[in-house]
Amino acid sequence: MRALVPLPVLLPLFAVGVKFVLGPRRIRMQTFISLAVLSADTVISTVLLVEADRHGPIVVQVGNFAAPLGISLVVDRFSGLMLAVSSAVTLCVLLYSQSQRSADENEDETGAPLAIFYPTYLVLAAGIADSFLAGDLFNLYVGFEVMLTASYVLMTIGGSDARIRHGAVYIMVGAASSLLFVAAIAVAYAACGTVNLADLAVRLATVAPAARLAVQVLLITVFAVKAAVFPLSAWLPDSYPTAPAPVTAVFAGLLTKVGVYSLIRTQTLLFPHERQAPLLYTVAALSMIIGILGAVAQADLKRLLSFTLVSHVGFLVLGLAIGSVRALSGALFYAITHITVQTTLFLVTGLIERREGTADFGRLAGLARLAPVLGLLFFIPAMNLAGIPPLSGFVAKLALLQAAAADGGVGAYILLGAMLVTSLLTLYAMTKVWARAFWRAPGEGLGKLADRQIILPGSESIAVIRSTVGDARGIGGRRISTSESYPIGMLGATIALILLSLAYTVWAGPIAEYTQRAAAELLDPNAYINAVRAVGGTH
Amino acid sequence: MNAASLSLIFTGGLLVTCGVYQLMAQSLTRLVLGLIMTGNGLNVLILAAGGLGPADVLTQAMILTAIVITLGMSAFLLALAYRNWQLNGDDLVQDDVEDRRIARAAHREDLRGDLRTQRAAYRADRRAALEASRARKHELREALREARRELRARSRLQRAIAARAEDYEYLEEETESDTDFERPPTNRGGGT
Repeated sequence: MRALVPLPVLLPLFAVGVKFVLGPRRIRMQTFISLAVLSADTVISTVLLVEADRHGPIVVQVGNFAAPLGISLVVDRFSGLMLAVSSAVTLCVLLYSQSQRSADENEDETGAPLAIFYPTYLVLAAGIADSFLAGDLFNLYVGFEVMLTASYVLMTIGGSDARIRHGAVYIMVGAASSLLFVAAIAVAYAACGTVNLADLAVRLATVAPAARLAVQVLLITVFAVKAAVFPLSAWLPDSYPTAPAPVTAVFAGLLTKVGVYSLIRTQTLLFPHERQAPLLYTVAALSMIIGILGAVAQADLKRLLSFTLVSHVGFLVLGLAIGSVRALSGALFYAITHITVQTTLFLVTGLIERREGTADFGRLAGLARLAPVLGLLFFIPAMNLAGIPPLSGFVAKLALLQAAAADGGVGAYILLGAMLVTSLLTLYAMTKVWARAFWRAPGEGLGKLADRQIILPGSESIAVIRSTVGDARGIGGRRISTSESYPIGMLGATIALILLSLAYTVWAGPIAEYTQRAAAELLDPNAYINAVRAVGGTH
Repeated sequence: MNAASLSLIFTGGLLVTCGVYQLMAQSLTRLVLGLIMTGNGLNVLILAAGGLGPADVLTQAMILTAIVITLGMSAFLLALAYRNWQLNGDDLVQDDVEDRRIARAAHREDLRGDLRTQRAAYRADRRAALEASRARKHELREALREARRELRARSRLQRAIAARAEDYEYLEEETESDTDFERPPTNRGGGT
């Protein structure tokens, strides 16, 4: 079983090498390799999830070097869950992007961007898996860097003006937070002489409280930037909407959740007795409220969804802030729901762009009548995001509400109020989109963006004015070719993700029990520490 | 703590300070420089954290990895800056979209404020002019009324004189023809 642990990182990286050897021409072979690797990833991580649930944390010391020197990879219930869900989501988004690529005929002419898109995507998947598996702080940093560097490439792919401009902000924020991460590692190493998480957990308990606080605050800041928690979230709604639809979808679903994962992992494992509750309470409430107010003010669907993303990360931080088994369990359930739902919404936005050429809902109208399929595909995840009863978003939010009420403190009750207001405003934002884009009579919007032709005075030539506001661009940076029919892969991937989110609803009982066990495991770090220490190396 | 590790800490601190200062610039090239300096400063600090003994391989492994990562990032960012220069002729990182929206709204508010003061000034001017013209009209009307009053007074006087004169004429006529007592005093009060 241990042999499986490194595979979610190794397989995609290995596949990237094979892809470069094959060259960009053999598209079918390339497609097959990507799909096969990510499918294998999904199967492997599901097996690991089940094993970790049955027998406790699975630990591998890479290269058989013992813990403080070597690199530990750990699968416990929490990381197993995140790994399984993230591989399923990356697989679906890969399918979607393959289909989008073949639907945009002109995309293949761009050549270079597409030749690097899929390898980079696989590197991103490897980075995400490495971050979830990392058992030491430095390996976590490397995982983050692999993931972020791949994301920088995906963010600026095609090198168009808007992508470069918005990408520069994203990259600089990412690079600055990585520097802070290095600083955190330096401080932790200076204080404890180790970067292995299990060792750190033991040694941090014995160092001076000031040093412990320094490490904790640095780590919170770093992961708050990566997770886009409110005061450090301004970069996200700015940069995400310009990337291609599948890229935005996978970023929105997974990258911020990797930040939240690391935040929860380090706080519960390294600082079990110092929760910094007032700080976390404040940022969680502010993220929720300010994020959703930002969403309500938007006129573009992608920007609106980016702001709801900031807002809903607040729910996950809230679970950590309250810190009971029930709260963490609710946060874990909400994390997997939110990964799936947010990704689906961005994929549906991609489908809307495919049909209408824009995601600006001032221009869209009558989609419920013109494209009932899109209406259904948007409605289910939108209601799930708002937390309407039978859906899994409601189950998770209810768990969080109960945890806040059970905590009973003033802060918890303020958070409870913030949660309710945020859910209500999310519903309002979703209703606004629905009323504008879907429910108006067809033709009431400003309509599709058309190329305006004007004849220049004094010459025969015709100038074509292209509106650049809100026009959708494909993976390679060209304008997408709109059509009334949906490519089968794009539709299939979106439906698969919706079915996944519905499955969370149907099997909410077993999943909630699992997240309860995972949360209990998180709050008892000794299991993790002992599991890592028990596996020695031969060197 | 010996002098060597103190100098390491000092160097690292200095590099990080300079780097952070550069990171506050808006030009991508400066940002890359800031990134490199901060990264190197932090690497030196990791070295200081591990101590100078030959035994600590872990710090060196970490520093090596961090150097490679910083190198890759710098290369990527330089390419980005070049592409930005190709497209736009500069390598500036743009402001936040929401910041720009807020700035635009503030500018609009400023313009609106200007417009409001201008409109108020214009309105005050108009009001003053109106006031002045009204005063002038009033003055003229007063003058007219005065003139009329004078005219009326004069005409009344004239009429009085005329009536007196008629009376005299009548008396004279009466004295000329004593017989005609029935003749009514025509034109009396009518004025001539």
